Amino acid sequence: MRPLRVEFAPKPSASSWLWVGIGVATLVVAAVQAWHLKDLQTQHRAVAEEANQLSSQLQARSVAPAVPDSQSNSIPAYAEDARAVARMAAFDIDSLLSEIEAVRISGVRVLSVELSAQERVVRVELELNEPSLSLRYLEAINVSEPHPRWQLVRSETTTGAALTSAMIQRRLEPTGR
Amino acid sequence: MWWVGSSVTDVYLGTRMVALCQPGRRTLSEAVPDFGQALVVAKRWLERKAPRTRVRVWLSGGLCRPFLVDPLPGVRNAQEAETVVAALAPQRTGLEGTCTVWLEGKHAGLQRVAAAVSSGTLEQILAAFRGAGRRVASIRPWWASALHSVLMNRDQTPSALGVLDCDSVTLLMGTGGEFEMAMSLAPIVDVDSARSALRRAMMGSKAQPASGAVVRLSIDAGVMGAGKGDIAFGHTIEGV
Repeated sequence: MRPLRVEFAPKPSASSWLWVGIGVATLVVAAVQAWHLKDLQTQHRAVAEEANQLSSQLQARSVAPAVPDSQSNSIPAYAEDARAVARMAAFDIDSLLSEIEAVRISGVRVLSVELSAQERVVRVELELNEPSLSLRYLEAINVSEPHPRWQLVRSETTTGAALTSAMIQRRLEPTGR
Repeated sequence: MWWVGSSVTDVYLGTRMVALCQPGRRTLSEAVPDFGQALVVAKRWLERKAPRTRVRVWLSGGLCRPFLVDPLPGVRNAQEAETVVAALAPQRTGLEGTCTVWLEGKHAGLQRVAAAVSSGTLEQILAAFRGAGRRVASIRPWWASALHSVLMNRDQTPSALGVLDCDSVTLLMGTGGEFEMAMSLAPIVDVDSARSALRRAMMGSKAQPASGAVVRLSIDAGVMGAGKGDIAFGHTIEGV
């Protein structure tokens, strides 16, 4: 056996001195801005007084009808369903299916495609001849994307079985139709 | 003289116990019904009583479980390997939900050791201790600290080790620099069950390990606070 240096704490992204430097620079900028702020506050007070006077005059001339708040606070249950349908309609499903069909890797079979309007995701269940093919498939399906949109959610290998199952998913994004 | 940030508070978290100690003294140990309560107790104590030190977190074998990983053909870099191992972790360890894994770097041996923690558990720990205004210096399994201590301090290194803590026994077995077994069995809380599990593992081993030992977390055993490389919290070592 050998020692294991297991560590789960997040690694610091920058050294402490860098943060101290950023802090000092921020303080200097803040001091300069505070100096200018004083002048601006004086100007702001004058403008605010003028605006108040104009506002009082305007209120005296016209009274706007009040909109009851209770209407905006309660969202009927059917509205959520309608939103989900609208989200699905706004999504280009044909293009999604073409995207999946375009990826052909030997040893990978698509078992199912699940669209969830509520969660706004699409999930694809795969059957693989070996676990690493899930990464090959991900790479292939993300090839035309500037940022990988498909992600590996799960990969399972049953002991003694030759096949691996995996699930990938991506978020549904409206096409702007 | 005490300097802010120069000292650490060691926090042990399990599904049945929580304990805190600072160099030289135990400050708290309490039985709890679950991990959530352990976190609540630790956070409350840190907020109210502890000096503002960094925090080193030690996880029980029930929360952080090791497993062996065979070579991964076709995987090109460490990031890809971690992605595959994270996807395998729930099945291999019995942990539920998405897992965060630590994977040993490449070495000459065939199998590598990985350790998994539920990602939700990690997030809860970081949120709780940061919420208490503490910097989390490390999050490690207590069994790894016990393994390190045994390998460093014993004249004759055992080839089979059972690490018994509040909710599990972690079995680590292998000769030379290799591992033949790495797994946590939970829930196991008594030393007899831990010994039996280790003996069964030794009998089933191909290499027929000659010597075994059980390291047992024992808060009252007297060794408190971890220096660099020492084992945190009290413990006893017994031969099998």
